[in-house]
Amino acid sequence: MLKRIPANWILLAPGIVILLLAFVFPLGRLFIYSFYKTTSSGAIEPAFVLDQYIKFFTDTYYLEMLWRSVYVGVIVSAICLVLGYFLAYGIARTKPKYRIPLLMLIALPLLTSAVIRNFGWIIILSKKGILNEILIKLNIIHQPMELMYTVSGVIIALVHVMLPYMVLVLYAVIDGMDLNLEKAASNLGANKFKVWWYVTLPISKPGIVAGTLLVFSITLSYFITPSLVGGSQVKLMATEIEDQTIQLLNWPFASAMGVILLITMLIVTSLYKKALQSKYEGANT
Amino acid sequence: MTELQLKDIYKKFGSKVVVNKLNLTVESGEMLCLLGPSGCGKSTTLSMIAGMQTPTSGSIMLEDKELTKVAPHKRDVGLVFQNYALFPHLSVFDNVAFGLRRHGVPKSEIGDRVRASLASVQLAEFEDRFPAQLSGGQQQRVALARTLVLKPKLVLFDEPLSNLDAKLRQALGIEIRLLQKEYKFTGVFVTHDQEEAMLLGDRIAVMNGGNIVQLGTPKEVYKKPVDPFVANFIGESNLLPIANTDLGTSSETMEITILGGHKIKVIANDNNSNPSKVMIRPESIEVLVDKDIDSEKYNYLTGNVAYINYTGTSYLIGIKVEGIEKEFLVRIQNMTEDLHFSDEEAITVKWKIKDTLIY
Repeated sequence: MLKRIPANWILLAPGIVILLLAFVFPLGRLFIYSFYKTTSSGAIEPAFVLDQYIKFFTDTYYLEMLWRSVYVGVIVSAICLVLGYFLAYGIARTKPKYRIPLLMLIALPLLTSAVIRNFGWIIILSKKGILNEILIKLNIIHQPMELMYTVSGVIIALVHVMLPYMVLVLYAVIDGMDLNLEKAASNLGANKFKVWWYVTLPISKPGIVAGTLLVFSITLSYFITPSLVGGSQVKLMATEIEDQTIQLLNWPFASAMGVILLITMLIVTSLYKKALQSKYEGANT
Repeated sequence: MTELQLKDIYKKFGSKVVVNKLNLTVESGEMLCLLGPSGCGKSTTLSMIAGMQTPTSGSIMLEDKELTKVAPHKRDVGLVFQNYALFPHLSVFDNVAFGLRRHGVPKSEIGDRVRASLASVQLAEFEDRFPAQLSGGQQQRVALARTLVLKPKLVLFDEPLSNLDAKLRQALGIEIRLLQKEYKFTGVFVTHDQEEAMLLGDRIAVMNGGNIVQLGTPKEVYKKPVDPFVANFIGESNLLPIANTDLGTSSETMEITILGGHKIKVIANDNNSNPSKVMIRPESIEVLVDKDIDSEKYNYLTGNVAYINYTGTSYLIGIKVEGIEKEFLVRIQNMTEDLHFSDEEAITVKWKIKDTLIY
């Protein structure tokens, strides 16, 4: 009997079971919940109505929150891309003996708890925090900047959290690139910028797509940083879902928000991938 | 006319000297092969001509123009790579057009020039393909078209045939020679393969230890290698250690004794009063069949057959000679009848005294 089950399915089985129990099943429950009714007294009634979705899409408060979440996700991905590209390119082009230590340095933040890192940012960003103190001492600013509990503060802290993911993905692609391609481009008359623009950049595109999608999707649903650095002043989808679930116990609405967030993520990522798809990636298959 | 001139080129990586005071002049329109084992500095030399590396000291002149410190993208020098280095994200057309676009060639001209260039490497119908859809030989021809479309004065080849199989290697080698006639470029061709160097080079510069050991036409390098290294590197060779040089050098020939006590006559050479090795090419040796000894003209050596290999165009016989460690190699071509020697059978071979070289 066992013979007839192909080996790859046996290897896949534990993962699939966990995924079904811990992801697919709860996600299905989430979908069902999102169509439930919340009565005016706050009680939850099983039903199949669009109440929760209507509530979300007719209230500018929630629409703005969705927009803010996407906006933060896009900005964080963009900043991570620029900073991460420099880092990844720099590491890939350094002497081999420095590469591993530098990559370790990049990956090190991933080994500390996100909560600890975000408390660190509170110390740095707060009104009497390290950053403001230094800038005032250096006479660069005279009034402390408001960074805690602002979108800017959340973006700064999120960039710090997400950067390692971006660097590691980009590094793999840039490091795998044949250096002769850059030499060939330069030999054919391209200066350093044009070598990068016409050869290195297009070839690192798969890394750019993968890195930004990874950072965007993690950021969009990231909870700890907005919650600690943004507080209740910077409401994002993830923090509001937590509020609705834990504080207000409005599970149907929280479920609907979860579904909306998921669909938003799918739409944005598929549009983005489509926009960046090129002919040669198809030709290589 | 002198096209390219390297003067006292010296290159160090850390404390390691890779190219050591190299001097080389390449004439306009010729193909010069830099031939040597890996690590001899040939690729580094090429890389410095292309501008990918800067010499520690020395100068590179292209047609009386100092090139040493010119940025690679401003040199009128083409470069063809071993691994083709085609841009994977660009079509064949765009690969060939890359250089033209970087040089600001007008759009109206680009299409015609790219197509003409692709036609000259027989790839006219492939302009819409991507590199990954082409075979190795086709990719290298696209790379040639990409370089030649810019009509560079000098084209550098960095082992461009090494990734191809033997048949293709020869076909593409000949194609490169034909392209050179068509485009009239000067070429520097780096290779570790002596057959390739013989096939392609008007002259061959044999390199070892960061410098040129011998520079000459393929025939000169083959017939008169300056030292055992060159003799061994180019073609097959029998190198026999000399036990002692004796007897008067007054006559035209002198007799020397090699290990094992065998006596061999060589043309007297005043330049080399204390030689240590005798060299004989395997193909200048014949098997003695008629017992007709002429010791004024020939050297003779007797041993036992260790093996006979038939290679299609020739037989390679390995002979175990007393006192000599390595088998003595004899290559016999154009045998009208099959050779009949069994292993261990005694065999006597002969070769002309003038074909015996000493070092």
